[in-house]
Amino acid sequence: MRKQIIWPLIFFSCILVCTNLMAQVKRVTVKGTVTDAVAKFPLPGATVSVAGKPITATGPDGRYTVTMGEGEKISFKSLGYAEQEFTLKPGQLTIDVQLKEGAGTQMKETVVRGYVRRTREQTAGASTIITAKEVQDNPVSNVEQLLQGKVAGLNIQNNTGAPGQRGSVNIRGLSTIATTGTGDATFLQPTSPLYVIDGVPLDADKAADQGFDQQGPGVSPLSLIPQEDIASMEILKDASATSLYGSRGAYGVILITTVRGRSKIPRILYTSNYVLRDVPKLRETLGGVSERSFKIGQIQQYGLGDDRYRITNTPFLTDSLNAFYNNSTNWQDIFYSTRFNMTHNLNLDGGDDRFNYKVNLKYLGENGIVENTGFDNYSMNMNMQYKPTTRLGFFGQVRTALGRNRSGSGTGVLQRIVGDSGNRSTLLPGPSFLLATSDVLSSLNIRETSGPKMIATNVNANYELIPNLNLSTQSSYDYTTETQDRFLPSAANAQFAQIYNFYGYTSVLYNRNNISYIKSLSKHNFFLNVFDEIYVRKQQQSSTRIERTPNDQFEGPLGYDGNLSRGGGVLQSFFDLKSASVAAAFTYDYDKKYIAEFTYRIDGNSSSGQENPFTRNPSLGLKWNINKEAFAENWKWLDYADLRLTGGQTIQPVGLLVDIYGRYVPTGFYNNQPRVGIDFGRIPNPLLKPKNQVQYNFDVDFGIKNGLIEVVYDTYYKNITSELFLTGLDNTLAFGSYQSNDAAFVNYGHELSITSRVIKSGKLTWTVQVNGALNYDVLTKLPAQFNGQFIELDDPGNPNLAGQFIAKRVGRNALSNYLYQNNGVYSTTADVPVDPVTGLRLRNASANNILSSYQGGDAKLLDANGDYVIDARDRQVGGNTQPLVTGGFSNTWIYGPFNLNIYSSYTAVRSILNNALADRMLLLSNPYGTNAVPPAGNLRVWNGPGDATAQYANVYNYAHESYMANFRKDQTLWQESGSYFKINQITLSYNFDKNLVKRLGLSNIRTYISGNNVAIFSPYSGPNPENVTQVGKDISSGYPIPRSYTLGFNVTF
Amino acid sequence: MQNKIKYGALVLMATVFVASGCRKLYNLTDEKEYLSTQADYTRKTFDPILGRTNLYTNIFQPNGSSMPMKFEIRNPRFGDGRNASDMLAVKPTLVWQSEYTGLETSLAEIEAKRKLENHPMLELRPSGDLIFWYTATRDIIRPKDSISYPQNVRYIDVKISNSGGTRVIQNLTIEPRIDVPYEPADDYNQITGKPNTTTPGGRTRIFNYPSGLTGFKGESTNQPMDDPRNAAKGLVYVYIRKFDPDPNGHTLRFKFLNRDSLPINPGKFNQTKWIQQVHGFNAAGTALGYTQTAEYVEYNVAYPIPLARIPTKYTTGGPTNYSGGDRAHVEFSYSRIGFGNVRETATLSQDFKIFEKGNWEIVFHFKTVNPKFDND
Repeated sequence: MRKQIIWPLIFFSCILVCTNLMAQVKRVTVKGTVTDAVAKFPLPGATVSVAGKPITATGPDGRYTVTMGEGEKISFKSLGYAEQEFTLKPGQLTIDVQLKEGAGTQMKETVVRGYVRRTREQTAGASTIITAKEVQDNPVSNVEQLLQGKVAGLNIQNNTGAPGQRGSVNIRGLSTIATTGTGDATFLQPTSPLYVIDGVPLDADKAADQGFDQQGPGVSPLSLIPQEDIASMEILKDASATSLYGSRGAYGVILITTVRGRSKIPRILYTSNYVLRDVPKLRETLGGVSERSFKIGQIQQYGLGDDRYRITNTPFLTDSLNAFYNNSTNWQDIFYSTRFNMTHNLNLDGGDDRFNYKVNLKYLGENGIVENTGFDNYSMNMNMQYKPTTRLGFFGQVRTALGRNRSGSGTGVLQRIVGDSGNRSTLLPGPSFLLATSDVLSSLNIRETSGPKMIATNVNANYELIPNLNLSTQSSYDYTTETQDRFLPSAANAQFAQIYNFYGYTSVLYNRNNISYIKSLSKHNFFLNVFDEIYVRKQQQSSTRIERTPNDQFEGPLGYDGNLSRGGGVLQSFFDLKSASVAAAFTYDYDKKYIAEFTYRIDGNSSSGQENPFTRNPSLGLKWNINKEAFAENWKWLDYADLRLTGGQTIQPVGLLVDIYGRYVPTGFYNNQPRVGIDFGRIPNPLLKPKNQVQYNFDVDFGIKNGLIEVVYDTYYKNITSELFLTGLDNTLAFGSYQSNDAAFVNYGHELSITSRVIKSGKLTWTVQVNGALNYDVLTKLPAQFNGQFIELDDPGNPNLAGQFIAKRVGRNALSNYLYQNNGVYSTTADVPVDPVTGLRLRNASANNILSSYQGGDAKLLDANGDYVIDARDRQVGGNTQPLVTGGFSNTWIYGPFNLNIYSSYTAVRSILNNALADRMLLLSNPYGTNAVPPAGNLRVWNGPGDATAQYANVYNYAHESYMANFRKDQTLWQESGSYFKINQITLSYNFDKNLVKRLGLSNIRTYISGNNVAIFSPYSGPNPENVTQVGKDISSGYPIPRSYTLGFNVTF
Repeated sequence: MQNKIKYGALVLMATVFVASGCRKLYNLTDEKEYLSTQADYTRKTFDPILGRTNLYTNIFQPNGSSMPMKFEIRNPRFGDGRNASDMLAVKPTLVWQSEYTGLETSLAEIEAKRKLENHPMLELRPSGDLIFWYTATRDIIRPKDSISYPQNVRYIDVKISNSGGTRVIQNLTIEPRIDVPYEPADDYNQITGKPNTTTPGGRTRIFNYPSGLTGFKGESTNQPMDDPRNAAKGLVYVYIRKFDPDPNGHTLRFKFLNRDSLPINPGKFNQTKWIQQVHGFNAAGTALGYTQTAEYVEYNVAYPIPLARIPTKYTTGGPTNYSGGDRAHVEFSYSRIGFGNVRETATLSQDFKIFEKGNWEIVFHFKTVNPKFDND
């Protein structure tokens, strides 16, 4: 490549020298735009050379102006693009150029910094671009899922299979240590990266308004964007890239650019997918008579006291001829089934650089594999671009979407009733209107109409006042309403029908005005970008629930009965946020060799409190393009190489207004006067500080041998201080708790991404991309009174409480587990240690009962404090609920018209709690109950005295279990390695022969088959180590992740 | 060449940066064990009974502190500042090494389950549990009087530590009470150790009565003797006493006295399963057994009785009384043909505990009315 460039350079230089000797020719001013041939966006910073001599570079909008002589050669060059050369014809004054991709893919990219396009070569920040190709061919309701394993440092765990729901997304380690909820329903407070869609910031955590597990009708706005409409996604990681987005970019920024019209001839692109979603392997269950004989056998063998006699009094076990008990119902089959879905997408586009338009219509239907769940989405996105002159441009966009989600009896993420019902005894009759219990009926018979309706408009205008000085303004208004009507028939709700209504709206008004200026003085290049932003977000939600209606036929209009009306009124999710910001970015580079970048942003935010409403976010980035150095000239093997060092601070108000000012509620009447008083739950903290994040980043990038290997290595250090920490107050005080700022933690780690075009010969191309990130998080500070450790107990006043709690200990990973140490199983009773003082065997905390003593076949729990009693004080802090290593591995083979992609991702070094297995084992502890019997199967259960290698205690001894709690959830027995390697997607596509297609009157046909979630390899004993909550709990009420197979077509008319 | 050096240095720098272990580089706090500022004893006053092992469990609330923790007794003193480290004197102490089951068939088998170890009389376990061993007796430690003067109260401080830090919990008080070598001990003054009276220094004694008395009939009254406290129906006193001062004795006798304080032949309790009454052995200690004479039945036993709080057939409620095992249980019975040719069975039962090693006898004294053994 070097040779190709250098020789022409020398050649043109010679000509240049000669031109002076030649006669003067007519000189004209030529203007034009340089754009990317595929994505159509303007290319800033492309070098424009006349007669081989670099004259100027294109501006941020890709435009250039040169003065040259007629008949001279003009060439355009941008790193990563093939050079194009034209000869100026007499009378020609405009040359618009579309550069095509050349060798070296990484540096060519155009990145967005503070809403302005720059070439990657000229910026210091860390970011990764995902192209449209990588997010097609695999229909999903939320495109975020497809980013898994594609970007180093972007940790996506698709931890739920619920249609339309998001998994967890973390850029560079843990964003918060605040958890909400307790027990199985412990969730990390949502900290989503900021999404910016075509320059408009957007809140992706819509569904989490009412707590992560309390899903309303809202869905993530991301789920409303058709994946076919995405042109590219860019993930910004470090402070230099994100600080211009201010507070809300603290958790990283993901930019999405939608498709623009890009065809001179209007065309229609139709994409259709047919998807089969397959139920993953469910739990094995003993059915019918085997269940009955198993339970009776269990009682016969292990019964204590009058247990054997009780069999006689349990008709469920004995009355086998009773039709009610003479069944073999497969309950899981009732709730889970394989579904067939389809999506259709129609894309119309056309136009040229002066005027282009696009309309995208989409239908996505996704029936969940759990009965009565699903997500449907209808959307229409339109945009148009108009450039009446080269100096003036307009862009307008309207996005509308209609979503419809059904979450059954669950909350979307959690399907508790379904989870529990699947554990029912097979002996019971299957559901019918008169027989099954109300919770089963509520899952099956609930009627729900819910979902968001969104309309988003976006207008952008830009004008070049004087050459290289660009003014632009962008305004957008998004309005989303969410409604939910839920009707539960009386049979499903304790004999009275119930009606629930929800209504909410969210509106976002956004305006940004931008001035940017580029100036080059010989080798010194300056770039200045100043903008202001206004962001107003309002949200109000209300709900009402009528507990009892007259009958199943009456669904409205609803009357009012104070006695039966619950909820109602405005929910606490009320939001009225206003923020105004000013930001500036200044970049200086010397000959594109040494680059310095400064950004500064001031945010004024209505949620920061009156004490200090402004936050200041500065950043600095330095870059050294090594390949531009003189000494690197001769390194022909080197495509590019650079070092980058960036640092910056992001300050983010995270407290709610109620944390600062307190919550005021009506407190009844006094002397017939209504009173409003403070809610004593939480004391206001007017001194609440915003969260402060300082991040440093060091990168090395290089590419060698014409794209043979490209490497991006990043290491970063992120110090997050003033993290919110909710502290309980003494019960002698009137208030319950207060938000303090006294927690801090650090994330640091390494990210490596290697892309290699292994084979590029003839028809065959094989590209491999490997990336990985190692993220450590370390808790560095807790409020002083905790002295370095805090256990998230359900009841802080009771440290002996049993349960799986999150432990936060200074100096170790921020979210650990607090569990009993399980060291296997006692082989015989004689192996149980005996208290030298009392002569009693090691026992459980509970009372002076000899049955509480451990015996052969019981779990060997660590008696940490040496009192020969296993109690809450023996629990230890351990494990890490967050993955240490995440990454992906992808392979692409192109052979003629065939294209095979295999995307895979991996996660390593993470502890997850297999609560599903614990629940399953506990089902065996009550043979009299109406629960299913899952066979322990190939689990290493203790099989008798002398079995020293067993992993699980004697699960069949139900009578003893009630004293021992061998299968208690808060023990390390369930803490397993959550490492996995997953084949996310295999896609095989085929492009039909052009001639054949033309004969059919079409311009392109492409067909593909793809498998999603194909296989997962893991040492984990449960079904799916990814299908766990954010704090690593595999709960049985989780929504299983289906495997899906797709057959799809792309047809272009 | 220079460039090469530059480049090489750069790569080297980067490598060092990566390999040096960022944790150290970033100077992050190291993980420490946790010592809660609220970790404390929930009980701070202790009045152990001398002559038996007192174990106070669950008295230390670590509040999440990392276990195991080191507990040290500091500054043992009396209320007036005198040294009280006498209670920390080390004594050879019998400790369990494997579990007593009640199924042992020889004395040696029981003894093999215990061993002698040196322990200070007052000890703290790594859990904070306080142990006051049976080796502390009234001749070594002065027991608490009826009035406790501060100068007689013993104080200790406890230093707790783990790698997360150290704290000292101050002023745990210990006031040992006089040894009560057996139970029931209604006849034993728990302040003075002398025979118990209804009023301090009074002359009316309080006695122990049997736990159960059914089916007995008075020889002279021919009335049911169903209330051992009623002189008219027939008082029955129970004496639990040493018949021999040998401190190393290991026998237990049962005796029955009539109203003339003369022994009743235990053979008269003809329905008694003697072998199942006490976990006792023959005189040699080699097999389960007992020695029966006209005056008493004697067992060769291991003290204390019961040996551990484990339900066996020798304890109240038997082995299926899962929460029992606290007291030994004996039952003596006989049957006779009553009026109208009805077989009447009489049962005398007693729950008891004996803490001290020695040659003990349990005497049932039919004080006022003799039981009727003859058939009607």
